[in-house]
Amino acid sequence: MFDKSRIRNFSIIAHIDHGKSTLADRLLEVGGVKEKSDSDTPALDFMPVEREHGITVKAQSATFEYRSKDGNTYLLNLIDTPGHIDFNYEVRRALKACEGVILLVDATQGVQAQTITNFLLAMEEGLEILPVINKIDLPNANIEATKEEIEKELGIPADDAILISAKNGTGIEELVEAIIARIPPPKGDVNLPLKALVFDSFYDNYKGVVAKIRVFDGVVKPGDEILFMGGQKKYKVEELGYMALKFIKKEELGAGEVGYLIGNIKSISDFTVGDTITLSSNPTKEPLPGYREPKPMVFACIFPTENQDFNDLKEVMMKLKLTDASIVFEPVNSISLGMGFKCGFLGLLHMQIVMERLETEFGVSVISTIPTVKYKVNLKNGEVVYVENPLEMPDPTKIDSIEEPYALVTIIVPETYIGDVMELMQNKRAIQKSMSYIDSKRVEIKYEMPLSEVIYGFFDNLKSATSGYASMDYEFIGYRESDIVKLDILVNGKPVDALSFLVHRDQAVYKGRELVRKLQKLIPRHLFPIAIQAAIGSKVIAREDIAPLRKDVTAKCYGGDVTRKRKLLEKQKEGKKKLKMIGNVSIPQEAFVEVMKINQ
Amino acid sequence: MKGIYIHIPFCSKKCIYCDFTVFDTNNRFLEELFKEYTDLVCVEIDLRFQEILNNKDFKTLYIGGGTPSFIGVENLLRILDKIFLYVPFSQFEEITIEANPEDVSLDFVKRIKEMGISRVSLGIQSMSEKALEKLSRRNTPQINRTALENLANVGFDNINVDLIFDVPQVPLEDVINSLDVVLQYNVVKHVSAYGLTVEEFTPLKLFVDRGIIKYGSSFEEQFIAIHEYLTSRGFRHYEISNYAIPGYESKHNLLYWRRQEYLGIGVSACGFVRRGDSSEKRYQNVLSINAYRDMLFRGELPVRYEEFLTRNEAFDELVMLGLRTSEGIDLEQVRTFVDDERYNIFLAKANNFISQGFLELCDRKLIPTLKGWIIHNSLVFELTS
Repeated sequence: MFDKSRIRNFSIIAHIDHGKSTLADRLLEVGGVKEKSDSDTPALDFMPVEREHGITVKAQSATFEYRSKDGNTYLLNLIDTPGHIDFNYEVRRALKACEGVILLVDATQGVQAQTITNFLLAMEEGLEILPVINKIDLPNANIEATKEEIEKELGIPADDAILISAKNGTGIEELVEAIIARIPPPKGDVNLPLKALVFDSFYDNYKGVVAKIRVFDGVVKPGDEILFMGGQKKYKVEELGYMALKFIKKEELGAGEVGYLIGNIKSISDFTVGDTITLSSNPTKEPLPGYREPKPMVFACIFPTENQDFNDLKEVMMKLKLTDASIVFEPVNSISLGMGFKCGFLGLLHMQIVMERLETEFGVSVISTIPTVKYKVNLKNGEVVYVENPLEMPDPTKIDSIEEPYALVTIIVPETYIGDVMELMQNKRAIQKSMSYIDSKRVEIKYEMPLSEVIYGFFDNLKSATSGYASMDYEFIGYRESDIVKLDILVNGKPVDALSFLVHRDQAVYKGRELVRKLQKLIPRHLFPIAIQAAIGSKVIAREDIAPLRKDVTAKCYGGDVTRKRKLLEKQKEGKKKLKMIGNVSIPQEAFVEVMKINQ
Repeated sequence: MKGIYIHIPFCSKKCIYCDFTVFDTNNRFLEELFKEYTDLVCVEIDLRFQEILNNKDFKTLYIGGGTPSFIGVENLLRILDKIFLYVPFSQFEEITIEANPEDVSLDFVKRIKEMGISRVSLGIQSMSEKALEKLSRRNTPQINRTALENLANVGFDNINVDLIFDVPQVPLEDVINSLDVVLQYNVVKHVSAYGLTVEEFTPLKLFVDRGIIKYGSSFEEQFIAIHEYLTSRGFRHYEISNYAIPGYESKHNLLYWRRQEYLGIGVSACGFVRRGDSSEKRYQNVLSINAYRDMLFRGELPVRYEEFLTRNEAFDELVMLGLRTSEGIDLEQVRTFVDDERYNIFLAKANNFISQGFLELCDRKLIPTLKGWIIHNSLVFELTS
């Protein structure tokens, strides 16, 4: 067990792209965990999807030792946090395991919306905050202005902010010394009963369920019988140790330490991140205060492309839940798509990442319905129902009114882009609430707007409207009455429930036409004509037709062609697995993906 | 019944739509090349027949390409003589050679007639100057006529002509006119009418992709028109692209579609052989002349790959090939390939196609209709998946 006074548990928090993952790499190099390399791919971004999106989705952690100038060796636990606004929940979880944070600010961009959000999260947790200014090597770095912003926006002193360039390694040693000097060592008592927090978990193909834990009090060893206090499940500890891009086995983990734990945990459904672990022979009295429940903002149903794969999907969703506690789901049955899951996501990016992980990491092919927010439906009989799925929409004749969720959106943007932002917001049903200068060049604008407008790619739109200069954050502020209609898509007269969505009446015709046009391009020709219609109730608002196949024949097939043609046939059959049959029409998976994008 | 296929992979110029293994030959030492290739083919014939105990079933011989006529009569004669060492001439029911009209001189025709060739497949492609130009062919309508006349004069009475239709910017009347001209020669007993296919990795594909050739297919219209024309003149439409006066169907090509055995000899040639009751093997020879030479010199069969078919693969082939012909597929045979459950699914799908007019059930056989042929790939895909 390591001397508690020489342990430092910390996270890096930052606005997206401010250099968090690069800094993490430098720290691991200083700590000897990672070889210095020329690769630009950060070591902590483990998942393929993360590489693709260039952002960190899952909190990873790594432990390393560092010999300080004071002659002592310290144990540093870096807990990486995701950077996108969809993932505040994961940030919060990581912070629970720390005593302090590095607040990383890009010297060329200054304080941004998520700098503030993350800062507030760290303050809430009562953590020591170490301001660090990154990218000082860039010609357009403005260190003085950045310091000023930190003081003005966040209200913390920035004189002693540490100046670094994570890219070329400037100031890294100084930063590590500052972590040791300024972030307090963990409190806690090894003599008290075990109290440890599961702050993350994942599934390792060789080791099974791996929990990442932070021990607050007591000691845990292999062979101990541990109790998950929330789930009231008992397991035997099989192995534990530090994570340093690999498993480093240890004899025990004691108060203040961060590491991994593997038990004989068979059923992954018994297991929740955020739970408190104690010893069943000598339990602690009080569990740690629970996490705040993640609030799903976006809902969609997902279905396996082949009905019989439902059980595979179920298994995979359980595994996914292990590494992504923020996803919520329950079984659902669709007329056109069969058994699937209704899922709640933190945001649209979160949803995209889940979809990609299902495909790339878990190898299951899924299609999703159009993502939607949660609508509040007031019925004529006085009842109130919440609808997260167009399938659940009550009969229109019974509906008195529909309310949709609204968000308060805060945008920080250089003043030269105010016009562009306002133009964008006009199409988003947004109401401007305030506008104020936060320094001589930048403006903070607040809008109230429907949450549905925020989740459907709004962040990307905002980025492109402002050449990437705007930053934003949003919070849910309540429900407001709205003219919402259900748009149905009919394929050869048959409604495809998985393609229907809820939309404001003003946008229904435009979106219906757009969607029908896209489907016409994506659905292959069949042996019979296909009509694709968009309808509100019984009123058709858009229609496109797909003409039947006119030629699908190979002119020559002689002795030399047989094998080749048979292989083509096999390939075609492989491709069929990616098609979903709606009645007798096969619809490619891409169609469902395209439909998701229609709302952007 | 079994067949022998011999591949001659040379053309004076490769056509823009062709994706067969064919070598452009602007080589100055053509004579030597053709002679050497003929030697190699003869070596392969020896190797192949050393393995075969019973030669009695070989009834058809087909020399294709490429352009077999291009390598000259002497070389062809040597190949035939070699074959006749193993399979006596009198045993063959059909010996076909493919020829390009520009090679079919009176002398050539006389010589191949003497050799014992009974059937000539002539690559005339079209009688329209415009179409021949579009296809960048070397023959002209006049060359085509001369070739047909030469063949008729020497006494060939079983001629096939290859025609290509659905050529960009060539109207239906040009296609029908080509048929009119061709059928003036009553020795033409067989017509292969191919819809132009834009194959991958061909210059044509490049031209179409880049918009140099505008290609809006009128396949269906021309396919039906050709069918009407030829069937009204006594031809039987017995395979998607093949028509014959009854009795003059290509015996060799029917082997392919009926999944009967054939040896493939020559660069890139394919073969299909059975061992015992159940083992079915398909093979293909190597694709380059160098590899072909090297392997034969080492005394090895010049095989690039061989595969033994699984039941599922054999079933796929049965459906794919059977539905190409007017013979269709025998339901009893289908039953031997699949279990009851799959058989019932197959029947249900077939019934659905029957009700849509793509198939007909006749004497326990599933026969494709004209409408069904047009979407042959879809039928096969549905029935086998």
